[in-house]
Amino acid sequence: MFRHTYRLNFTFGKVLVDRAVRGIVGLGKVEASLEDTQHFLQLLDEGRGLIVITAHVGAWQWAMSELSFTGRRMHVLYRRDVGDVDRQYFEHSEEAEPPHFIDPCSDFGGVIEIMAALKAGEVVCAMGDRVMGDSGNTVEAPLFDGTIHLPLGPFVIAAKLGTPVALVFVPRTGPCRAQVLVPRVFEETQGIDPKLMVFGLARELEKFAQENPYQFFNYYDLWDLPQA
Amino acid sequence: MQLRQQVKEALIKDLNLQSITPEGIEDDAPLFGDGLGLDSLDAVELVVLVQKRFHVEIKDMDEGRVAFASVNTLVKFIEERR
Repeated sequence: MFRHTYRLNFTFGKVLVDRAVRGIVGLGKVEASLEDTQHFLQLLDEGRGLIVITAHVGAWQWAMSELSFTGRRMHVLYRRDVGDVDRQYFEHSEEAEPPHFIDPCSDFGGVIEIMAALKAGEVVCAMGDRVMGDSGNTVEAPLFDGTIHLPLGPFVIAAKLGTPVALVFVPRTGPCRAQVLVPRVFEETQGIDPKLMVFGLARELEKFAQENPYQFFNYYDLWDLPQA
Repeated sequence: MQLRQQVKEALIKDLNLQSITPEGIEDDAPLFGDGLGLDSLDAVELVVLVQKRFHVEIKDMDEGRVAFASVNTLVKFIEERR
């Protein structure tokens, strides 16, 4: 157990160093396949916007800002904790237009802002593996022989508006290097049961964690569900 | 049918407020929180409801705060914009 814990924390340390190097010196690269890039652009051209669901895995902290390759304005659903510096990282990055942040704890859980952005054909990025804001809107999904709570909100919005949803993970592949993985895209979402997409996310998250066991950085007991 | 009644019936139907009648919704009670008790997922339904049934769009948070304060404010918002 000690060895696994050490390796997990050591990898997380590398991710944090990467972020600092990327932010201060500007070195580093996030690689996205041409196929995925074109797929995203094609979806965005349909004018339905795009919801990108990612998770606390790999180099998520600095890789999210690199998703600007779509050329569309990006909004990040983000709750700032005390002492959190992630937001400053994005705001002071050298991106021409840093992401716009939507607070999930603001009025109506930020859904009006999210829906307005999607109607304008823009990109909304949300963490799919941790509950923020309204903790009541979750779904129990299976993960590694247990059950965890995952947020439902972004998937409900997708199903209402017919917005495509892309699951995106960005594993660290080397010093200051990461790769955009798109394990699944839900293209036709209008009217489908949002829970099906949440279960799909849980499956892909499990697969990612199996393949990258030291790049899954949720440092709390996911399975410790509140008693009903 | 009066717009106020239409709004109340739409709220009950589209938000699945099965145990509530139109008469049970107070005109000035808050829609979110202590009043009708709607949450953020209901806000998604509400934005869509207002657009589909009354052809009025909630464009941003400022409009949402004004429109979604109560049934009365929602009715006024719809009347002003359609």
